[in-house]
Amino acid sequence: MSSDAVIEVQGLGKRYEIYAQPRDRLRQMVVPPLRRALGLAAHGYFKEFWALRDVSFSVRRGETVAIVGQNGSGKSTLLQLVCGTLSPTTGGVRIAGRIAALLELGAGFNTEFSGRENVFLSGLLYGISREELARRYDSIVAFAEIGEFIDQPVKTYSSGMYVRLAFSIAAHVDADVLVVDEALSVGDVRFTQKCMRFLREFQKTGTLLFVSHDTSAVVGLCSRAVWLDHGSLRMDGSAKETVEAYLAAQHALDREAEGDSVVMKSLSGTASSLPAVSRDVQDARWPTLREHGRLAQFAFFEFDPERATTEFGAGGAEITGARFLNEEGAPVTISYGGEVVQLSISATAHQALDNVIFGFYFKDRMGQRLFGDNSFMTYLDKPVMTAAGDRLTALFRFRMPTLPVGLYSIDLAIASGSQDNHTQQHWVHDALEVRGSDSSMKHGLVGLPMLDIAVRKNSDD
Amino acid sequence: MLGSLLQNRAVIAQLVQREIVGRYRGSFLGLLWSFLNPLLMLTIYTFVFGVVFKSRWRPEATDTMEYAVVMFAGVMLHGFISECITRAPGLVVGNANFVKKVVFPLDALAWVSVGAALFHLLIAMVIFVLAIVVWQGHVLPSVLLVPVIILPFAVLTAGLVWFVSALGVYLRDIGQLMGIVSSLLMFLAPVFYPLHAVPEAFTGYLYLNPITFVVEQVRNAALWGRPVDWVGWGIYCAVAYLVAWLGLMGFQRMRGGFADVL
Repeated sequence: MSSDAVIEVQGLGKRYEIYAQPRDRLRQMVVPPLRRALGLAAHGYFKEFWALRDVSFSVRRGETVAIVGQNGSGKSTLLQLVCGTLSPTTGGVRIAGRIAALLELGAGFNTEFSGRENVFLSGLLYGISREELARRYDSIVAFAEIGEFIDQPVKTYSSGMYVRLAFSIAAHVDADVLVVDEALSVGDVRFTQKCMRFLREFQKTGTLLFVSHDTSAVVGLCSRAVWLDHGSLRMDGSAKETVEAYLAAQHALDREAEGDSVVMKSLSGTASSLPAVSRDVQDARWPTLREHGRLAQFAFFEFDPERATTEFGAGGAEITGARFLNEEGAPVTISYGGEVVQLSISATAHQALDNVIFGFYFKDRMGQRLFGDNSFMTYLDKPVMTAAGDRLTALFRFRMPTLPVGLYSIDLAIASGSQDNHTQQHWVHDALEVRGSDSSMKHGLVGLPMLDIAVRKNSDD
Repeated sequence: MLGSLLQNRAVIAQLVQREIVGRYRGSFLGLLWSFLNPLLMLTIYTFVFGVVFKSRWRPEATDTMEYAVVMFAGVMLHGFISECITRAPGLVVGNANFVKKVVFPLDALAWVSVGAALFHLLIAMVIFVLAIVVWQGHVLPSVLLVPVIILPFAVLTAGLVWFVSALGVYLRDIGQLMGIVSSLLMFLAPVFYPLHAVPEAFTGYLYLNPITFVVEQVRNAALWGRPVDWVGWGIYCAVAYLVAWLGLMGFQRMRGGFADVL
């Protein structure tokens, strides 16, 4: 493929040979070749298990790619193959440049060695000279925040210290490719933030391969995601789409265990009977507010079933429309941060359902969920029941937060059951789109309306 | 083979240093133990064999120290190979992190093991030379040939370590076996007895023991002032290289499965 590819995985497969006893493995190495040499039929002493099968993809320089998948789907095996700690059964991996890895808990530390010795040893293994390591040593220790424990054996470290040191070393070896496997889930919040800052900085120049079960981190950090399912490549696409598809499949699996069936389908061609609401109603205060030029302005787009990319659900109910209303209940297409708006979701029940729940997620461009809510708690004591054919409308009335300029989208869902155990009847990804503009807000993900801002001098002199 | 040694010399040096320092870490006398150990052994040998048993290496010898010093030459060489091969089965197993978590030049582990043992051998040799001075009042200049004589012995040992350490991953029983092998190497070599005391029919077999030839030549050079058998040394080098090569080949062939087993 392109010479730009930093990681190139071709037809990669890893077969584990499951032996009843370690000595069968040795027998396998010796006996079958001998039998073949003698012209006898050779048989194996193992049961085979394919942890990874025929996986191909390539990562270009500067790309950040996430690997998602259930436990046991082959993520760690893939990373180990990429790093070269495992040898592949079929196919191969080509890496251009220096690769640093954070596999599972900590790199290849020798737990009997002190932190200092491990820093030097790991550094040497990465191919950094002793002199260069001595120069970077203070910076490594400072980043890891190990303090005086650096001279204690690593086996006495807490898991947080362990991973901090490992991360710090990996951060200081000038790697071209960084492989991070779940390592960040161990550190405390502050260190995780520090690592994320480092990773975001690293992304600008380096290539990152990232495994995490934290799907919002995946979506927030990665541009692309690879979904592994039982050792095979199920999907390779934008992080957002892949994670959404993965989560939908996970949900379907969960429900299957509960005895419900949830189908994945593409929306094209369905639900087009919906009369689109497009009455252009302008907010009365708009000209005045516009003069101030200090408010976050939002433009709401219509619910367009054709544009929604994916949906899934058991099909017991269908979301047929959604729109924003102003406080008085009139449809709006433009609003400002701090204004009260109503999100109206209408749906039709196709079968009798107990305990209907409406919900939504407000997401940013990267698919990061900013806020969301559902109707469950409100109707805890008086569950909403439906018969087939019932039409329902849910209203969520809330104050629009201030948001940075950008595109936002809203996931809508109708489910039945309880907060913890429910079946998604219909979930529409990106059902509504919202464009934020004219914002003075630059920092953070969500701004709150400030009740009061005051600056005072505390003393007069 | 030497490529791996040169390429990974920084890592090997770091690990050897750590291996030597680490063994006595936490003990009060620290590194001094690696000096005290062989010294105390030599003292005990002198007392038991020289004073109590009144053993004599040569029938005509009259002093009490000769037997202990001659025997010590064998004991230190055996100590070297014994240290390497008894630890070899656990060499890879004990460094599972290096196998699974990082890309580590695993073949360098054998050099680390041999390197650390060589350090201890070096200290034992210093004591050996000191003992000769105490015994004779002077040393022969040919004692300087001893490191040269020992070189192929170390290479051969590395080969054994490669093979045994890889095998030890799959067959944990090897660990038990090595203790016995170590004893066999000691008693089936002219360590405690002179080679000429062995019945003629068995002498040839004794040369299958890698210690036999080396200890005889070390004694020739350092104690008796006899010429070293350089032709034999050349053959020994060839055999040592072959053993090391086979050991490394075996190691490389078996290492593919390490990560799956550990």
